[in-house]
Amino acid sequence: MPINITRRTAILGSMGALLVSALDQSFAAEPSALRIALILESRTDVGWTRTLLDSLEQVKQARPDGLDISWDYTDPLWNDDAENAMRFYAEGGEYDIIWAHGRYSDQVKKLSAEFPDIMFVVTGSGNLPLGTNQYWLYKRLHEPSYLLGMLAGRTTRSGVIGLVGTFAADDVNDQINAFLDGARAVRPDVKHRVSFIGSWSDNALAAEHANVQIASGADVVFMLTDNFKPCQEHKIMCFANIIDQSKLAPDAIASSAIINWQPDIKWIVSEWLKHKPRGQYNGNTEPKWFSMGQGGVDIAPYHDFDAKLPATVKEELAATRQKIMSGEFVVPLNTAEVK
Amino acid sequence: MGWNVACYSAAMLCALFSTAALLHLSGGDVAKAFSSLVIGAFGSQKALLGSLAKATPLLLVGLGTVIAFRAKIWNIGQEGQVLAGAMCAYWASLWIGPLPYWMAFAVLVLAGLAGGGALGLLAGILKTRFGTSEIISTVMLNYIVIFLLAYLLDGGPWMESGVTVAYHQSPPVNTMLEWPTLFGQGSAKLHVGFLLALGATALSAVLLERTPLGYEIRAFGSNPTALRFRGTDISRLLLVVMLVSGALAGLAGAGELFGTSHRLRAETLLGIGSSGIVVAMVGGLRPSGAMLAALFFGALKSGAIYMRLQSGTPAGLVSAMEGLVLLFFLCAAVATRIQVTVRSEVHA
Repeated sequence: MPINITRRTAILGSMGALLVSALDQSFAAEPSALRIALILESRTDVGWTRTLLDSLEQVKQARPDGLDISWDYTDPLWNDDAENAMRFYAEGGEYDIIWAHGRYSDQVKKLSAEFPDIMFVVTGSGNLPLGTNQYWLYKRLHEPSYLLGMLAGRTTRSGVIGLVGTFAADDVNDQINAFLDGARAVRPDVKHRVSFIGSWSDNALAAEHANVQIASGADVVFMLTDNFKPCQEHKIMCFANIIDQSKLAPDAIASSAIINWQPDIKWIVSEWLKHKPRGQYNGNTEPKWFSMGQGGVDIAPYHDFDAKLPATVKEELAATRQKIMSGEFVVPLNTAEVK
Repeated sequence: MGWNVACYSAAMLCALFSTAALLHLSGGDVAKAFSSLVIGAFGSQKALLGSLAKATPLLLVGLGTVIAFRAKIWNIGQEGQVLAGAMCAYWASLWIGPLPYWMAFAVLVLAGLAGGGALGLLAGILKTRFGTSEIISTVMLNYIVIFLLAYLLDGGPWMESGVTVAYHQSPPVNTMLEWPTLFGQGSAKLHVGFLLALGATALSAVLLERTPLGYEIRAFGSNPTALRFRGTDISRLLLVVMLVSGALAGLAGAGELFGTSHRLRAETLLGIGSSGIVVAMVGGLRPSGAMLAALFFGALKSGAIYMRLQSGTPAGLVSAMEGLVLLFFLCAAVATRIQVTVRSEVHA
């Protein structure tokens, strides 16, 4: 039996075939896996790195957009060693994202144009705003630091609070200023002792600075480093940052200002999905950070101090935290160095 | 000659076996680790360039050490002299006006030489004027330079200023002043400092072996009293040796700053001085030996990254390898001085 095909049928049929073909290609191009190479600047037990690995694990379980996320990471690497490692990963062609977890934009700058299909991620202060295929993540801990400052202001007896910082970098200064703002919000006459040890990891020096501050009257200390021995030895209350450090000194650490990288990772994944098919990235030149309300930061539980802290103080902190989360109260962001 | 070769070959084999044992004990795949080390150091043009680039500052510092140690002047302030050279060159770069490139390059080279040389000379003056041990003074000067740099980069005039920056580092150097590239591009390149290092090797060899000054340096190392009776001005000689030794280390610092890192930062320069001393010692305190040792350690440093990423070798093992090589080579150096004489009794 002869088949009669009208012109309209032929046109519609062709269009339909084209549409199905395009849809098929579109579905076929949808990535199902994401491989990340991590360049680390500190050991995996250090808070800055540990929080990232923990967050990656949690995002992996959630499988955003059905992606199977996996990663490999290096020992701590810096300078041209880090650059060589990035080149190794980039040339291997196995990885979609090279996540350089720290101050690595000098190295990315030399590689990004050579590997335009790879997305580079750098984190923290000290990076350059390169844009294109470099994405720049930041962590602002000023909101939880403000809450810890309130706690310090409510609990100090001497009226002197200490702060031991690493470098006077702007993402350290914001925590210190917010901590002092929080303390003064509840006790305006509070005095402070601030010092910077000029290192990210010299815990012995951090202890010396803390001991000096305690000797000069500080009875609550915000340790932005990883040594809490002075607080234990002098039986005073300490605060930590980056990760919940309570296990290190449960008798001294009342709480910590903590980082959660999950919103950052999800944003990076969404940007990668958005730009990957086009092969062009649109990296941010202003640092991107997620607030407490967005889940980027928070304060850790009180653990052993839960029973020691007055209920009224805990309620006051919970109420302020809620106001920050809802946007009713905005913690001032001040990155000036405190003297 | 044959005995020397045997000693150093045995030292190399011992170092390799010891490293293999360490790798095995740490659960690593020995064959994979060594093969990836070789591929990472020599497996491609980029790898080779990386090895030569790593060898460049080690060779310059090693040569400076050779000259000082041949005179038995124990200049161990190379760390500070490398920093001083980089700092002086950086300071010069801030003041260089619109000069032709080759003139600006010459200024940076001279500034690097001057920075390291001045620090060496200072230790020499302390020795000749006050009898201060150069071992003590050079080490103490290291600290002074490191803390001076910390001041300059941490709140001082050289600190990078910006919205999110407050680290111990300078802004990037003027791109117009970066040292020219010989081969490669991007992150895998070899800068002109390598040629300077090769030239310095030849000059050092000529200086030590073919000039009156070289003779005096060697004589000072073996018998300073005899040299004094010969009429040589010992103080002047000591100052010259310290100046040259420090200057070569300073050139290494300037080269690293303007050829590789392009940003003044202590962490990129620390370690070059001590590795350079190892290079000189392993090289048998000869310029040619220092060159071979620098190439070896440069390759080791360059290949180590590849080895770590490919085979998961712990980072600490690379430093352990360097230490083992030094240890066995020092043992070999002692062994070369042992002479075994076989006496046969002659019966009438």
